Amino acid sequence: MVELTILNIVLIIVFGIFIGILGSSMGVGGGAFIVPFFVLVFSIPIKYAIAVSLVSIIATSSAVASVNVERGLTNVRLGIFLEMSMAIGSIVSTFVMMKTNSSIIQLLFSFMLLPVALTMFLKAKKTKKTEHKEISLNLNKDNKNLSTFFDPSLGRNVVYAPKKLKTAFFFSFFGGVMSGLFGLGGGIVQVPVMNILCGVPIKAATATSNFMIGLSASASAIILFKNGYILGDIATFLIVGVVIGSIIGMKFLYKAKGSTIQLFFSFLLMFLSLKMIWSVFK
Amino acid sequence: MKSLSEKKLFEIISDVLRSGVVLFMVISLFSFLFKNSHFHQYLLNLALIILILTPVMRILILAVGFYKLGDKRYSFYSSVILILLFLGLFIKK
Repeated sequence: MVELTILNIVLIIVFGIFIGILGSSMGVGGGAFIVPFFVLVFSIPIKYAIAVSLVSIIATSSAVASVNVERGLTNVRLGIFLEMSMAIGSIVSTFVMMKTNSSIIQLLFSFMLLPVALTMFLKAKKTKKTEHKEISLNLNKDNKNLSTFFDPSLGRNVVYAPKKLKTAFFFSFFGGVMSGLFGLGGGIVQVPVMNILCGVPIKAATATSNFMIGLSASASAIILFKNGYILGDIATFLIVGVVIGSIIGMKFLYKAKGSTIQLFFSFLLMFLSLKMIWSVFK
Repeated sequence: MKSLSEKKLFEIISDVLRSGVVLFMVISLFSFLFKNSHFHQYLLNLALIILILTPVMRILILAVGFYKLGDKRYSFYSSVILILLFLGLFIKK
């Protein structure tokens, strides 16, 4: 489908590094950039681009989660609980994606990028406020869901107790739909759900989301692999870059207090969305 | 296995996730040494299967691990996810 010249390989690896930094430091954004990149730059049909995106999400999630689980940043129990509905969303939406016309998927994907860009834009604006609020959330010591992690940027333990779990369970289904239908991973749903709805601090929410999206991507990728959608050659070089980028990004996540880079990426996503819509009607 | 603690369980999970990615990279890059043979595609598929099944493996270990820790609720949740993933295998184009 794509001739793997040295130039193309280098381009894919460099792009993978960029995606790895973005995905691991912000919890969202990987798939939102991978799919347009392969569709617009390499003219790969969107369903194959989604499959490559999902495989790279598994790699990013696994690489990042392996560190965050050890650090105690990931809330494993919360992740497992929400993964149940997320897995159902992934499996159902993958089936729908395979049955739907590629142009429709591309159009839906392009429109989906706009709220993703908007969420990223709003998140960039709110990051500082949330970090100061989150320390005093839900400190009832009798609460069975009480969780804690050490935040080096604050120099102290952050204690919290996730709330509204049933509502979060419902919304996680749509996180799975994002994964199976668009190859987006679902972090764009999971991070706000856990942070805003459940009251999970942004860093723990990002880490838990990263942990979860690997499974939802896996649920979809199993189906796509069985049906011959995964381009192994391209995925390999993308993942080499993604893993390198993830290692760089994880250091950024652990130490950073917030990010204004998200503003730039939110505008870039808006541009990509318009470009994708344009390429459907061209 | 009696001495399994939650910390130890999470360390095992970390190792499994890390190993999955490393194995994928080693096998898939190694496959390019045989670029023009069937062996390339065979190794590449093997690498992809290992990577795709890495999160499945961590759910399997969590299901067993939580059961050993006496946390039956999360062992049950993990088992439900495994069943869902298994059902996904029957979906065709």
